[in-house]
Amino acid sequence: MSSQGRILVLGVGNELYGDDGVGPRAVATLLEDTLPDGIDLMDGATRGLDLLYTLQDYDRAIVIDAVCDGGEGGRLLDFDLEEVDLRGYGPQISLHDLDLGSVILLARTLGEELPPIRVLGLTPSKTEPGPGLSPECEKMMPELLARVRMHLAEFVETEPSTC
Amino acid sequence: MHENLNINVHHMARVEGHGNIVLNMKDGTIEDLRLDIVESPRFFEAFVVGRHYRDVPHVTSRICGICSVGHTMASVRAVENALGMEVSENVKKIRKLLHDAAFLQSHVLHAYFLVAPDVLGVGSVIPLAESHPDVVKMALRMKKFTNDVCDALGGRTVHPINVIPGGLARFPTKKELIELKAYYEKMLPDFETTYEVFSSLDYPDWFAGFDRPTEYISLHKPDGEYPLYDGQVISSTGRIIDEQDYLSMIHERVESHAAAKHVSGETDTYMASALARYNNNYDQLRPKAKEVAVKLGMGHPCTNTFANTFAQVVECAHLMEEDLAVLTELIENTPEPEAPVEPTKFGRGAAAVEVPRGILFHEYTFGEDGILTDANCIIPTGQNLANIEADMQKLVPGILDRSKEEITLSLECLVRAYDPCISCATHFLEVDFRE
Repeated sequence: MSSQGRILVLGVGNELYGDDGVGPRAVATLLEDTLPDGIDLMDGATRGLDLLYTLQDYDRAIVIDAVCDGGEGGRLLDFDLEEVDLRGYGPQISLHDLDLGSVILLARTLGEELPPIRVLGLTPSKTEPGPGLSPECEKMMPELLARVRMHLAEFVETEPSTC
Repeated sequence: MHENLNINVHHMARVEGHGNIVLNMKDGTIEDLRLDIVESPRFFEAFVVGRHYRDVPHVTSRICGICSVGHTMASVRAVENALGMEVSENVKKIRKLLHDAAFLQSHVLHAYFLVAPDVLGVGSVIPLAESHPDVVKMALRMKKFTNDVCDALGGRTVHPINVIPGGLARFPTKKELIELKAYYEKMLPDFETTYEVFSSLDYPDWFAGFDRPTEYISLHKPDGEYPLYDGQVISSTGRIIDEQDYLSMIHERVESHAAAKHVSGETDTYMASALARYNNNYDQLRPKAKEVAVKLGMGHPCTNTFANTFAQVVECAHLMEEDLAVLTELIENTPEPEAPVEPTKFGRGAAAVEVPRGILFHEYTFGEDGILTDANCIIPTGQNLANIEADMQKLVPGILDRSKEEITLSLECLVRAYDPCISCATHFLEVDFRE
């Protein structure tokens, strides 16, 4: 285990809903990698509130998700969660619809501790039922995966003797 | 008093899946008042055709992420009925503990996350977390508790892998049972607080004063426990049938405005829910649950649909007491692991199981090779759709002197009282980059 503690790579989304499946798809690919001890890969799917407890079990996390920032689809976004304002779903919350943004908002409101979270996302262009990513997101998937591996390597290099 | 009114709630909030409320009133006459179900059908009954009986519960569990335990129980019991597999009392006890934990989880989430924001006049749990952080933290703690019980007994939080046709894949050890009992005891104060919270809230008059007697259909065990896992099927009209004969009481039909089938029972509409169970099985409730019902101001029978949330809270009190007693029994006589029972026949079998939102039916037919040839699943929300619309017809004329906003809220609350679960949706992380 790293001296930075346990690291979670969490893919979030519904792989049966177009580009919402970016996270689970990335995690499925990363399962083929040999990762150092202390790094866990998880398909968080649409687990809603349960993601809060999952994140709290780790010391830092990389979250891979489809990210809507109002811009066009098929772009790679790479940011610390602290850098952005989360919209959440506000009044549309249901138990199924408690998306990651709402979970984080809820945790922040309650003063719940969360690990530092790096978000790696693709902006979606296909938002309709059905499996498979859009050509735009499909094209960007290798770059997204490379960025995840780069961040993981940075984490490991920071404390190489302990990984 | 409104003479003309047009309300269209598109994709109403805080229900599972997609439904629209439509109200059109012209010159004092209600021309249209309905709940449109706009979600696509998902054809689970077709997915399982051609599957081996061992695989079927794993597929049908996916009908719902909230009620995955309930669908697993209905599926496994339908398989066992079709294949002549009789499981032991110990298997049933452990399954019931898991089943009950899913009820506790669903009820707590519905009451705190979906109903409380309505009563307190806030749009969601986020402002509730700002105004009542201790209550929301407590609700999260209760959710974590039920997750952990499902992990321990079901093998994982959702879509349990431990409940299999013929028995259990793994039995809990005595040490695990002792730990679980201690966990239940530790959580009792949070449940006590919950009974206080929901009995002390200030409910709107249309919530507290609503009354529409209807037919209630649920499981029933006249001489047994409060039935959630198995039993006969009872209508509040007085008719009791075996679960195998459920289609003699439950009649599905297609309505043009709903992608889910409407269902009638002994009468045109009926309610399947915690309230239906409460009304049909009041005598089987544990003393603590009856005490909580009094605290919440529930009579018996209770014909206020909005009180379905109260019935859920009452069931929490029942289940905490019931499950602590079952855990004590299991600790005293910890069961040895048993090999799964094998099929003794192949054919048709149905199972009726209660899930948090009401009675659920699964029915399967298997060929001699154990492969499924036919399936039918009737979920509680489908059963309730016609009754929801009948309740809307009763509610609206009595509140036409209110603002359009309040009428809209009352209709949304009425639908949410049923805790409907229409289906899963999509989840994107939405952000604004700071300039």
